[in-house]
Amino acid sequence: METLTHILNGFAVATQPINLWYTFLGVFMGTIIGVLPGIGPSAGIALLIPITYGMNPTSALIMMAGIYYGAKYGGSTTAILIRTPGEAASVMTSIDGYEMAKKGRAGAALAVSAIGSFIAGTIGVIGLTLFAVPLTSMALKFGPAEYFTLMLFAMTAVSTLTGKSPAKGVIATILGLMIATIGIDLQSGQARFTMGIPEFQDGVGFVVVVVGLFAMAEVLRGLEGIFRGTSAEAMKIRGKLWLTREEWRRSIGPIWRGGVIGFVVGVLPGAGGTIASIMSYTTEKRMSKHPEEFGHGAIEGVAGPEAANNSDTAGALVPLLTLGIPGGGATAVMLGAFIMYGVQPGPLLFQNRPDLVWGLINSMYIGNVMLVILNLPLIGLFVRLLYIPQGILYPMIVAISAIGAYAINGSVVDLWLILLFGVIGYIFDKVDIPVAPLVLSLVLGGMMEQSFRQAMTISGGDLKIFYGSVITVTLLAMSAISVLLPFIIPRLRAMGSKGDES
Amino acid sequence: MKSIFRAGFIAGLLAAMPSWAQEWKPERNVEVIVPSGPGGGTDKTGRAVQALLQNLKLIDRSVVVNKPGAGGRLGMIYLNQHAGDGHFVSVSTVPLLTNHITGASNLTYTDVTPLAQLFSEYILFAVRADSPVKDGRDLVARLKQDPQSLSFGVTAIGGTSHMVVGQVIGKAGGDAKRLKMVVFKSGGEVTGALLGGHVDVVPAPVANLLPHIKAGKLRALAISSPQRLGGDLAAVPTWRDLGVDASFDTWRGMVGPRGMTPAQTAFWDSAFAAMTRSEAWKQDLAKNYWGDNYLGSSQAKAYLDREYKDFRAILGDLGLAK
Repeated sequence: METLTHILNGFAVATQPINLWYTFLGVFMGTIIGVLPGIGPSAGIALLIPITYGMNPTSALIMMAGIYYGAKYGGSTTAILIRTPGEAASVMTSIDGYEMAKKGRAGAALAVSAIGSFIAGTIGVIGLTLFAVPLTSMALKFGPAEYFTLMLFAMTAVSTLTGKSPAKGVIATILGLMIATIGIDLQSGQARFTMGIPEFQDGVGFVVVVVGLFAMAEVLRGLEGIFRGTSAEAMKIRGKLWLTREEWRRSIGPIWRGGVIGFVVGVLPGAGGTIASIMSYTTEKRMSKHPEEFGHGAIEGVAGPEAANNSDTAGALVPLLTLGIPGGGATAVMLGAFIMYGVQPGPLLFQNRPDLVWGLINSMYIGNVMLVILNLPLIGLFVRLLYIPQGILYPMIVAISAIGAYAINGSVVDLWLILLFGVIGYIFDKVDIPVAPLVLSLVLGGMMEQSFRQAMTISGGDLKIFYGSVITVTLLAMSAISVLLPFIIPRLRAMGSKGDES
Repeated sequence: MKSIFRAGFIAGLLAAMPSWAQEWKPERNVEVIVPSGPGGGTDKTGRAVQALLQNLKLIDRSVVVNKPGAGGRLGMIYLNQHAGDGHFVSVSTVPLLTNHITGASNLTYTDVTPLAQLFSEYILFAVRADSPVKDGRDLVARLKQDPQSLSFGVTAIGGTSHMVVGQVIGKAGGDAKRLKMVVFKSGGEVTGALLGGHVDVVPAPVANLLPHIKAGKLRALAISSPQRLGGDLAAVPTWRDLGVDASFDTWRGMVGPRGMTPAQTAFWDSAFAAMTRSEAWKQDLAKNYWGDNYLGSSQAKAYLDREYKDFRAILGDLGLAK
């Protein structure tokens, strides 16, 4: 009852004109930051900190959160139009979203991203409102053994991302795992495969690899087309800008599921938006009646991941607010801002500052409405990008990718890396090796290795730790089912048909 | 030709002489370098310093620049690319010394210009409220008997938390090299692993743990400060109180690039002195549980000399010194 009063008071706080203004300012800046590759929400929020000095903490945090979830709306734009993810979490969108654009359905892809983000963002905030406190104890149950089995389960999805040839899928997977080992190894403190380059000590950046594999490779393919005179005509919009009834019908399920997956993964401080969107993508492909369309412009492959990476932001606020534990860069900067304003996130925050907590959470309902209103009309403007002649578009993609990659760390090494991975992506395309397994194993590989070794240190080398809790056993069982199912189902079908005959 | 150059050089020198004999102040935008990414203590320090320098009108125009990577080394490389330029200052952290000792970096404090030591952060040892470890003495006794009996959550091998544990157990006569260190990506993950009961003990900066201690979820065993602290931590014993001659502080300071002129150093000396005297700085310190240990440029150098020796000894005991 008391909580209900606090929630209602929170709405009063969130709807004060000044806070509405800061919500708008936050989501507006977030959209722009999301559209620009490389400049992520953490850098955007950090830049704001000096400006918010002396501001009312509630207003300042409302604005910062707006940037955080607003950026997830913008991230899909460049992914769909020029195959360059604006945010790491939009990586899956640059697969099917770009294919949709090639087929003339860029408008639909952008629209489903915005609507999916809105629905899932709202699912996330509802989850945050209702379950923040109980979910905290679930998040804490995830230790190294639980994270390892979770990563193992996610990793079993790699087979769904492989094309016709399993061998080629394995090549891509292993390359991804190898790249994931570059850098200082956390558990031993030793540098691995850094080749004397100091920039490699922190590993090869995920966004750098992805921008190279997707955007730069696409430019190389385009150049080849121009030189051979086989270049496809410029992408145009076919049909209406909006979703068709059929597209809408196919999207609604993935949006709901993506919204739930994103929120749950977001609550775990170790996971994050990229893993959420990959999990949503592989879930949709597994559930789909036409999995062969994935990778060739399936709208489910845009709707699910875009929904997931949005509700992830609301999930990530759960450990931040209830434990003071940030799950990633953006929430870490927000934690710093909280403390700067003299507000301590953690177990006592909901008791001590209900006005701030509920004002912030409730502003997110309003912010999501603002974002969808802001983003839908922009679609008409953004699709104009497709009418730019290739001679201008390709240099523009190179420039945007280079600025984006450089903006992350200000490192020239990253510029060489996007070129290198551009060439790798181009060669992969020529010999028909899929890039998605590489992306998956790069994201999951590092964490899988580290959590395995953390668990082994804790248990003193005893493997029992991996079947010591309900969570690990469940995840192991799910992994086994997911690996075996493709072998079992045909047999069951065969047995079924035999039964019919007799 | 040569003589023209030489004449030009001498003329230039003469022109420069009066300016460093007298005074120097920034004429352009000042870059406050943070040798880590956004979020976390080092970033917070850089942003607090920049905001205060600006608000107190000690400098005109300035910007915070994050240069993360290679344990702070990339930030120092960037700083020294502007050798002799007083418009660049950087936050300095313990890894500037320890990375050199472990061989991870060839740059250390003698390659830059120490300008100030700003504050100390002490390391609090905590366990879950329901832990069988009764107190600090019990912790040491268990680890002396079997160094593998408890697991520690830390953020880096050879990092400050690892060093504190090594120092305490080493001084108490245990085998510091055999301790179980479980390394996580961030301080937040370490706190989560302790709250969830996945690791047994966490040595971490006060600010990370105190909210959970106040909420009754965690229990403090000891703190690494030389003397007992006040306020929220008045009840927490130091290691010396518990009969182990160990104390440790992890600090942050400010450094400039190599080859700064005395006039540039003097400018920053007075700027940081004025900043640390301000009421706003004292509030920043209190909010973050940072302990004031301001030292000016000349004392900072001597302080770092001593720290370098101490760290080498501790890391040597852990088998990590090169």
